[in-house]
Amino acid sequence: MRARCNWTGLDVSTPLTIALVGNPNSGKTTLFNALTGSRAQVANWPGVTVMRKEGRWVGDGMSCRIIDLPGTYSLTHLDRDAAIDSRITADFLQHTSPDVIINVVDAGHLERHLYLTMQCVEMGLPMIVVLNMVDEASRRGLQVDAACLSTRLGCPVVSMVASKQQGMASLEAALLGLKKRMPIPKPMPLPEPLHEVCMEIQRQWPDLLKVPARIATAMCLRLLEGDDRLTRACPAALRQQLGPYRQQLAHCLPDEVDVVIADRRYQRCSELVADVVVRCKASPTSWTGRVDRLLLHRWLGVPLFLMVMYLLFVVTMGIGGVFQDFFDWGSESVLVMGFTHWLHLHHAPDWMIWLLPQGVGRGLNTVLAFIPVLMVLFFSLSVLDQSGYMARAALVVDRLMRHLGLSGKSFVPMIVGFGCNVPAILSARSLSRPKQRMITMLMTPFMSCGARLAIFAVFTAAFFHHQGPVVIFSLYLTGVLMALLTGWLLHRTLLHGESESFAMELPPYRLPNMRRVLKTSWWRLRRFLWRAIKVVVPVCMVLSMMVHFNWMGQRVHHTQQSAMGQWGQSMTPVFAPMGIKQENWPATVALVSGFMAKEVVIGTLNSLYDQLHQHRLHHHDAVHEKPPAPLWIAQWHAAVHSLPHHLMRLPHVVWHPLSVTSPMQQMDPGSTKEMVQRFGGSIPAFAYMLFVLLYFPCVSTVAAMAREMHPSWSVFSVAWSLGVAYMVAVLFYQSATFASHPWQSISWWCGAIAVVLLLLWSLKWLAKQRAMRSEVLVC
Amino acid sequence: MVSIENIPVGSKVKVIGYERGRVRSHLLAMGLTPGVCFELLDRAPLGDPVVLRVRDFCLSVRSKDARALQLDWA
Repeated sequence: MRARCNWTGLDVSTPLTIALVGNPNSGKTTLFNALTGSRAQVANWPGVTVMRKEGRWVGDGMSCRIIDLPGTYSLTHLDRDAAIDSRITADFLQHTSPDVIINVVDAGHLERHLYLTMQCVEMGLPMIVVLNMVDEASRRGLQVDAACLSTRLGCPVVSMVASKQQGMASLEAALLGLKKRMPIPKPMPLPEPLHEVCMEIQRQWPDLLKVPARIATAMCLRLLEGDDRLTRACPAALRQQLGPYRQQLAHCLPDEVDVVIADRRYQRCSELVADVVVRCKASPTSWTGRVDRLLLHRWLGVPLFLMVMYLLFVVTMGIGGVFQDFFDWGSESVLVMGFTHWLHLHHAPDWMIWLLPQGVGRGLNTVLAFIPVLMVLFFSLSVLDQSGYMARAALVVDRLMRHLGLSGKSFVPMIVGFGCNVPAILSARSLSRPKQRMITMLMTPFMSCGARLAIFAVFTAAFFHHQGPVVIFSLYLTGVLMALLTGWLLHRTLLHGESESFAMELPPYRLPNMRRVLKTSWWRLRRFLWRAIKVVVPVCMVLSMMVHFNWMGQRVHHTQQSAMGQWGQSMTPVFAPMGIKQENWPATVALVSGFMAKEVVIGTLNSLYDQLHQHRLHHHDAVHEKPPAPLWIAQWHAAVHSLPHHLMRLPHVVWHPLSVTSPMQQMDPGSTKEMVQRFGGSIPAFAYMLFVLLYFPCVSTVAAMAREMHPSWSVFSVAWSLGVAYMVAVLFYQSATFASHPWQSISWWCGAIAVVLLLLWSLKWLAKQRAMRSEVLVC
Repeated sequence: MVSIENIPVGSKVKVIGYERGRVRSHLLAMGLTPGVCFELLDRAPLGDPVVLRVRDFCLSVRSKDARALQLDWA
C-alpha cells in the first residue's frame, strides 16, 4: 500500500520553528550541534529546571529556529510523576506546534525508534525523518532503504552519520525543499470502532483542549490511552465519559484500548521494517553482550561496580585536586589579596576593602575553587554516561536503592558526595523523576565531603591520638546512616510515590565522543558557576561585614567585639547541651563561618584561638592586626608551585583518595593548646564533630539545591539537617556524660523522642494533606 | 503460562497479553506488545532487574513490573 502524501505550501518568509524529536540516545543532540554549529544558545524551559537548547540554521534564503527537545520513548505519559524532560516534548508538540518536526531515528534499532515516529505522524505536522547512525547499522549487517521508507511514510528520509557530519548536504537539501512544499505524512488507519469513538469525542467536544483540529485525533488517542496530563486538562464531563468509552471499545476490540493502540503502532513499525531493512549478513556477535556478561556477572558485577565508583571518586578528587590549589590560591591572590593591596595603595576606606575584595572577591574565590573538581567530575560522568556503563551501574544497585523509593541511578550522586556535595547535587539531574531527584538531593548533604574531612583530621589529631581512623570512620558511617534515614522517612511520608516502574534501554557500549563530552561538561560547568556566584557573593559580603564591624557599624579590631563574635557568644548557650561551654565561643563562631564553606572552619578556629592565646600570654587589651603586606605575589607563586607538587603526589592519591583534601592549613600549636583547653575533653569534641558533619553543607551546596529544586525544599533541607545535627550531637553528649547528670540526660532523651514522634506525625499528616490535594509537585 | 522469575537466562518467551489493572504503558511503549517474542539475556547481579532482548534492542525491566505480562514459551 502506498501512503498518500498531503503536500501543502507554507509561507517561509518568517523563520521556521523546527523541533528535533527522538528517543534518548538517538543522536539528536549531535545532530543539533552539527546543524547549528557554535551558534547554539541555551534557554531554560519555563517553569522547570530541565533545559532546552535552541539554535539557528541559515540556508539559501531560509532561516530556521532549531529546538532540541529532550529524548523520549513515547508521547503518552500515564504517570503523574513521569520524567519532566519527556513530558516537555509532548507539551511542546501539543501547545507550541512547531512548523516542522525533524524526527531522529537510529537506523540500527529502527523498529523501536519508529514507534515515536508513528506518534509524531499522528500529530499531523510536516516532518523530515533523519536515519542516523547508518554506519553502525551497516556494521551490524543492516541496510536501510531510505527512499523506500520515504515513500512509505510520505515524508523525506535522510540517511546520516551525524557524529561524522555525513549526510549533512542531504539534510540541508531536505530543509531547503521545505520552501516549496511541506510534507505532511498521512497517519495510519485506525480500527473502525476506535475511529468512531474518536470521531464522537470530537463531535461532542469540538473545542477539545483548545488544540488545532488536525491533532484532535491524536489527542483523543492519548486520552483513551490514559495520558495523565491530558486527562486532567480536559472537561470533567469528558473525563467521566472516558471510562464508558474504554469499556465500549473493550467489547469490540481484541484487547483493552491502550494495548490495541500500541499494538497498531508497532504492527505498522514491523511492516515498515520488513519492507525497508535488508539484513546483508548475519550480525556479528556483538562485544556488548560479552562485556555485559562480565559487568553483570552474578559475583563480579557488584565488586566491578564498586571499583568503577571508586575510580570515579579517585579521578575526580585526584586530577581535580591537582588543580584545586592553583584555582583556589591563584584566584585568592588576585581577587582578594591583590585587590586589597591595590585598594590600600589608593587609600580606599576600610569598608570598601571589607566589602569588595573580602566580600565579592572572597565569594568569587570560593566558587572558582570548585572549577577543577567539577570539570573533571562532569567530564568523567559524561564519559561513563556516553560509554553506556551508567545504565549498567543503575541496573546493579537498583534492587538496593528500591527500598528508599529510589532507582539505581541515585547511587552516583551519593558516591560523588563524598568528594564534594555540590557536584553531587548537580549530578542528580540525570535522574528522571522529580521525587527521586528530590530524595537523592536531600540525602546528599549527609555524605561527608572532603572539606569536612579536613576538620575531622585536625580534631582527631588534637583529641584522639590513636583512635583517629576509627573516629573518622564512625563519623562517615553516621553520615551515611542519617542519609538513609532521611531517604527512608521522606519516601514513607512527604515524597511517597508508587515505587517507580522502570523500563530502561541498555544502550550498546560506545566509545565516547570527546568533543561532545567536553562540550557537555563545559556547558554544565558554566551554568553552575553563574548560579552559584549569584548566591555565594552576597553571603560572603554580609559575613565579611559581620566579622569586621560591630552591630553599631563601627570598625572593631578584635573578632570578639565584632557582630559575628558577639553573635557567636550569645549563641553559645544554645550549644551548651552538646558540651560547648561559654568560654569556648570561638567554636560557635566557626560554625557560623562554616556556613560559607567547610574549608573556612579550621581557619576561623585557628585565628580566634590564636588571638585568645596571645591575649592570655601578653595580657594585651587588643591584638592589633598585622598591616596588610603585599603578600599576594607570594600567594600567586604558591598557587603556581602547587601544580607540580600535586602532580608528583598523584600516584599516592590512587591508594589514598581521601588524602587529597587533608588539611592544608594546620593549626598552630598555640591555638591547638587553647582549643584543647576550651573544649575540655574528647566527648564535647566528638559531639562538635558530629554537629559539623551533619549541620549544614555549605552555601554553595544550598545554592545548587535551590537551583535544582523548588527553593522551599532547600529551606527544608537546611532546617532538617540543622535539626538532625543538633539532636544527634546533643544525644551523644548527654549519653556519654550520663553518669554526671542522669536526670538531665533522661529528660533530653525524652524530649528527643517526643520531637521525633511529633515530627513523624506531622510529616504523615502533611503527606496525607498533599495526597488529598493531589497536586503536581512543581520542582 | 510462565512467570518472569522462572525463565532461565538465554531462553525465549512470547508475550500473550497483559494482566488487568497493572501499570503497562512504559512496557507497551518499549515494544512489549501481545504476540512479540523476547529473549531473557541476563539478570542483574542481585537477581533483579532483568535484561531482555526485544525488537532488536536490550531492555531492562524490574521483575515486579514484568509481572504485568502474561508470558508463554516461544
